[in-house]
Amino acid sequence: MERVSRILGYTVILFMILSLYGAFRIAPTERIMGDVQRIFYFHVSIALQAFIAFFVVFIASIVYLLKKDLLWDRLASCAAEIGLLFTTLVLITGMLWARPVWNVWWTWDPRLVTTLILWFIYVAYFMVRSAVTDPGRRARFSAVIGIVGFIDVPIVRLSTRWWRSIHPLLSQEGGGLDPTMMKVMLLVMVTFTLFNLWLLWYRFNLAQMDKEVEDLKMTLEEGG
Amino acid sequence: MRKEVDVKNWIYLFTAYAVIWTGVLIYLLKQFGEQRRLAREIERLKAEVKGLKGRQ
Repeated sequence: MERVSRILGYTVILFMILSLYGAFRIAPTERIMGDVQRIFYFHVSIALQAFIAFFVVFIASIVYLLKKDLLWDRLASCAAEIGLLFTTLVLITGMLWARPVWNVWWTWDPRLVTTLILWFIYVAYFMVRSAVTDPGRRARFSAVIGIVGFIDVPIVRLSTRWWRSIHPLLSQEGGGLDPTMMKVMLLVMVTFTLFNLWLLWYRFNLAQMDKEVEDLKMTLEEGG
Repeated sequence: MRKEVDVKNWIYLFTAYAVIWTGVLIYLLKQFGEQRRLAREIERLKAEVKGLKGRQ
C-alpha cells in the first residue's frame, strides 16, 4: 500500500510539471484576456476536484447512515477537508482572475455566491464536528450536513444557466475553445484528479492512524 | 499601455499560482508533520501496552 501511494505521489509530481509546462508554454495566449487567462486551467480543474471531494463526502455520509460504521465518517471528514481546501483555492484564484478581467475582486454573481455558500456549508461541517464530542452523534450530524450540503454542488454547476451570470460557461465554451487549450485543460484535470486521489488516500491513512492511537489509549486505560 | 496591462496580468497570474502552491504546500507540510507525530505516538503507546501486558 505504501508503495502504491509512493508511485502515485511521484506520478502526480511528474504530471504537475507537465501541466505547468502545458499551461505556460504549450497553451496559446488568449486574444482578449492575455496571459492572465492561464489561471483558467488550474482554476477550473481545482473546482472540479472540490466537487469530486464533496461527492465522496455525500456517498460516505449515506453509507455511514446505513451501516453506522465510523470508518465511513472518517472517510467523509477527510474528503470534506480536501474539498474545503480546493474550494478556498477556487475562490481566491477566481478573485485574482476577476480583478483584471471584470475590474472587481468580487461581484454578487450566482456562480460566485453559490460557491461561497458551498464554502460556508463545509466550514459549518467542521464547526459541528469540533463542537460535538460524542463520536456517534458527531458522525450522524456530519453525515446529515454532508448529504444536504451536497445539494449546493449541482446548484453551483447549473447557476450560470439558471440565472443571469457573467461567469463563463465551460461547456458552452468547450465547442469554441482552442483545441490546444482543451488538451492542456484535460491534462491539468487528469493531474488534479490523481492529486485528489493521492491526497484522499494519504489523509485517510492519517485518520486511521489517529484511530489506532485512540484504541491504544483505550487499551491502556482499561488495563491500568 | 499594452505592456503595462501585460505586466499587471502577469502579477495576477503569478499571484494566483503562488496562492495555489502555497496553499497546497502548507496543507501537505501540516499532514506530514501530523503523520510523524502519530507514528511516534503509536510507537510509544504500543511499548506501553506491551509493558502493561508483561506486568499482567
